[in-house]
Amino acid sequence: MNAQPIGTKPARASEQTVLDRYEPVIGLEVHCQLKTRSKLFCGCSTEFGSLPNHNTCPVCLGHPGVLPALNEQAVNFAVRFALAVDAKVHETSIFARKQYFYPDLPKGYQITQYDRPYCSDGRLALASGKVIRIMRAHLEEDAGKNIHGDESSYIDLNRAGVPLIEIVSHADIRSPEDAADYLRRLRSIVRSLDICDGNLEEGSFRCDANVSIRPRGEEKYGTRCEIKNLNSFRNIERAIKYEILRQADLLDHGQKVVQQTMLFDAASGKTQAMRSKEESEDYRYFPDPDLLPLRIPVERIESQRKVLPELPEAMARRFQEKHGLSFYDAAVLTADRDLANFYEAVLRRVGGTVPEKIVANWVTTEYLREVNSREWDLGNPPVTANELGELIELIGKGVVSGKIAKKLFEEMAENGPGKGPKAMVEAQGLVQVSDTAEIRKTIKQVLDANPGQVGEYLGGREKVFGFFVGQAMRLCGGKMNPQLMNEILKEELDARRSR
Amino acid sequence: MTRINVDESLVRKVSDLANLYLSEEEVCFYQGRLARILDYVDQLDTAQALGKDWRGDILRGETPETPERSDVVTPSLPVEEAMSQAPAHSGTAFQVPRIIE
Amino acid sequence: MAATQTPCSELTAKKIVGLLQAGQASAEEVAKSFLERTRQTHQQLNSHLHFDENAAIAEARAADRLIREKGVSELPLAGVPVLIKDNICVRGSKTTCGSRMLGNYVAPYDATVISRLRAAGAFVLGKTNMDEFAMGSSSENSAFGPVRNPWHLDHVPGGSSGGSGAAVAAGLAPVALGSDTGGSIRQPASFCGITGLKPTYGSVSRFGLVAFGSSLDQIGPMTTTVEDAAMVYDVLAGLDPRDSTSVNHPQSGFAAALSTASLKGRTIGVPDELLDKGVDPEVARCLERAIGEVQAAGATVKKVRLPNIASSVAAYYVIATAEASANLARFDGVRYGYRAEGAGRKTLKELYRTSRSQGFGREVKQRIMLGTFVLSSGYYDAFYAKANKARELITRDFSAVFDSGCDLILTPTSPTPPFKLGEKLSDPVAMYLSDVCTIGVNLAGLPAISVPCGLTTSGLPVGMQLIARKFNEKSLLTGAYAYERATDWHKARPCL
Ligand SMILES: [Mg+2]
Ligand SMILES: [Zn+2]
Repeated sequence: MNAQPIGTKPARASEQTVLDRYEPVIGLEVHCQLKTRSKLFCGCSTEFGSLPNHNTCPVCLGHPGVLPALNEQAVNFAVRFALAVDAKVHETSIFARKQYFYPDLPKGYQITQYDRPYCSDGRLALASGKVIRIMRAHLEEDAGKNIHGDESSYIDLNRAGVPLIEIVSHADIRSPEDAADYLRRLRSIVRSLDICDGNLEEGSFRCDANVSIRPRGEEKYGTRCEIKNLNSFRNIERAIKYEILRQADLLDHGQKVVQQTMLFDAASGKTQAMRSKEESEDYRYFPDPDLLPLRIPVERIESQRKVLPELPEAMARRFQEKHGLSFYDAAVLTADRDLANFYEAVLRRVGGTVPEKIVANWVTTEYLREVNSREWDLGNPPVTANELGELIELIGKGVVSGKIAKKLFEEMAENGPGKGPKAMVEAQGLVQVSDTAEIRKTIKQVLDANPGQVGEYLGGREKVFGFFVGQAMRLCGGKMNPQLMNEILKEELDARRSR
Repeated sequence: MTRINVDESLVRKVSDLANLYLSEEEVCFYQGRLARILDYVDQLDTAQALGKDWRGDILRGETPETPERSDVVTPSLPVEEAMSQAPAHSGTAFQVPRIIE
Repeated sequence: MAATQTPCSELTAKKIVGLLQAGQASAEEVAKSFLERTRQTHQQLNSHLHFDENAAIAEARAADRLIREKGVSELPLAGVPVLIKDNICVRGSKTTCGSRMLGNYVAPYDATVISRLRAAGAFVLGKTNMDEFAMGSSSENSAFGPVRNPWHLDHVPGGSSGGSGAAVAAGLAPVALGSDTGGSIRQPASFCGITGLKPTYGSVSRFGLVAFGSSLDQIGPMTTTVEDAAMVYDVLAGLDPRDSTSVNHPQSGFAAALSTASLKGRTIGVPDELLDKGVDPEVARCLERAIGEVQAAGATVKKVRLPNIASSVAAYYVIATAEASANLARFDGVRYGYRAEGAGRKTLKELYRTSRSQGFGREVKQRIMLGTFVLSSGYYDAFYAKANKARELITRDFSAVFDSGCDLILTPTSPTPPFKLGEKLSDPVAMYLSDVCTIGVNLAGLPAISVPCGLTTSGLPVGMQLIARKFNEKSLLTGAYAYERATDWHKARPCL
């Protein structure tokens, strides 16, 4: 089963041979911007897209003498995340200073959590059924942004101090596809929780991947490299694949993998070492004396549990139990919050004229095919759930056949939905022929024109039935109600038997 | 005993981490100073160190916990004021020499 | 006006508030008389970093307006001019921390203590010189020249709040704010013959105090009387939502509590460790007499032990420098502060390094180096973790003494009287050791006060330190006040 719900191209032969010999070991670190109104330690707005440094104050500019004051909502959001992935929320956690110099880090240290994170030991199940353990998640502040010019760089600190949770998985992931699935699911969770908008391009959901490989059967982990700058699901998969091949190539040629930080270049599809030699960073973590321990008592955890919305896993269970979907279809639909919402919206529009299972099929096959090949934005697809729902409803009402509907959907995808499926059906005269007399007339024509085949059929070769169906459909341009046609064709053939 | 050999390379490593440029003369000076201070600080070993969870909690009463503020946006600093302190800026962004990775 | 009839050096905060309440002076008049005296004296002492008469007058007028609006009786510090150590932010005023790094830095906000003082009717008179970033015990480490002791100009006033101490002793203001990380209020108070209160950690907001050792720093008043210290502390103490380490003080009404102050029936512990070895004989003589005076006032004095106090200086220099190395990382020449000449054309790394190397003085760099080292990988456990364990032990030592029935602990504030300029610059450890009596208090977060308790044969002041349990400033201030009333040492003033 393909664990990757959305668009997996088959592995190239070389990839396959590498994967036959080496097992990839992947761990992911995800930085999730929390959707609070104000920053983690000051009252500045977290709004995206303001002019440089317009959302800054002495605190987030790191002026002398300022102190941090923790945002309560950020803690609530963080707790909700922990609950959503079944993690243990610690009653006491400690903020620490992580020290390094970089112009986008105003204080020369980041306030984060180090050896005492607020939660640990979570889990996330993939479509493949595999469970990825989440080692920990911690609260921290974001850095600002550097904008590079020819001779100078420019520093914008609007983002400095925006709350983040950093979610660290165990190195449980064994394929690039699973890595992408894990990320989609994580994104779906934080979006369901409404604690993060999950926008990879704007950087509100960012991923770094630790990748190593080891010969199959080997227990010892290989040397890992960290890949940064992964800003789309497609790139994440590409980058990890490339990195696996790169490392395999090194090992195959008797070379060693050097532990280093790689940057993924989307244009070339390659990962490149960020620094020639890894200066082993010494962050000199120590407990931040400006903040006391963060206490999250049980009562607070429970009050946050009460406001949790339906989470993807629960939703998938509902789809299986109430809609009769397969585990796989349910998993695919719930891998992405927008996709699940889309499916439910289509379902509402179809309004019971077609079984859920068929609607789900439409979404996971026809719709997702277009999403992938046309790189549609799941959050804002050019064909809306309403339009697709209307189309499926037409099938349910017997106005068009499934085959015509598929053709129509392709057209809608290609040229846009125009005035909607109903209008298209009418304009193109695609309304299904359900007039028995007309159908009988056409079928008689076909049988009359093919006496040999009729003889064969009557002689016992029932396979020929399909031939008549095809001929009849061709004659009417596919518009015939297939069910009616089947019935009438049988009648007419039987009539000829008794002649 | 944690006697530390404060040699030139240690001084340079530390000044590197601290982002301080030191002249030859200063390396020498701080080598002597650090050696003297660390030699003194070594006496910490003689204190019977039996503290348990020392994480600064000691300063903070019986059930210390960090206070939390509500998620309310307060006015930012007027950007001109932020820029007025900057040694170099362009528009409303701080300016530094081009960062080379 | 009446204010001009009383010499500045005798104008306490209490007297000023009295004059204003009686309608005999305005804040502006008070300001003018102190400015007049400051003009004559401050350069000699190098006590001031920013002496801007117009700004001070404007401040005083704002105080007068507030007094008119609210009524003088509502304002406990009505018309009281306060000098501010230059590591406390005053919006629109330079805040240099005695460093070239912040030579041109103008604070864009007010420290919480400034807002509190103003809301109580006090006003800012100017900013005082200090050891760079509060790192020092002599006020010699200022990028803007050393401060001099008004009692003897070739002696140091102590540090790091030496400018505040010298100015108050010389009568340039009735009150100055200092900050105390390891003794930086108490030791200069002792060296200058005035009163200096280091409050319980967390009782006064640190918001707007440029951090040195964040888990140790505390702002406090430097005054000529215990009563003034109590009046100012009444205003300074309180919860500040902007400082997460600040708490609501369980006590209040410190100045009012003094009316019933007495030492009668109280038990005062005197730790052997801080009175025996290493204490200058002149200081020891003053302290012995002080102990006698305390007993005469009705207190029981008993010997107590602080067995781990010997490791306090070592623990302190590890913890304070570790915190400082992180606190001072923000000074990088990017958003504000010093940027090395021509650094804009160099690489980013060069900009950082040259700016920081030129912007910081020798002692500051030394402490940044030490703090960076003790946190660096491989050394954290041997130094930082160990120092924190020692801190815990020292804290327990103090608790044990209080649990044994002592209300207060009495020690010298400094093991030596004021020393000469340059005398201790060559050996960092000798300089650090001059804080041996005060440092333990910061490590344990306790409140302590230094009050004058004598003069050396050459006429230099000696201070006595009283230490109380956490959040027991009432016990501390009433004890100190009772001692002050029983003696005349606080009345001695330098001749300038
Ligand atoms: Mg992080
Ligand atoms: Zn801010």
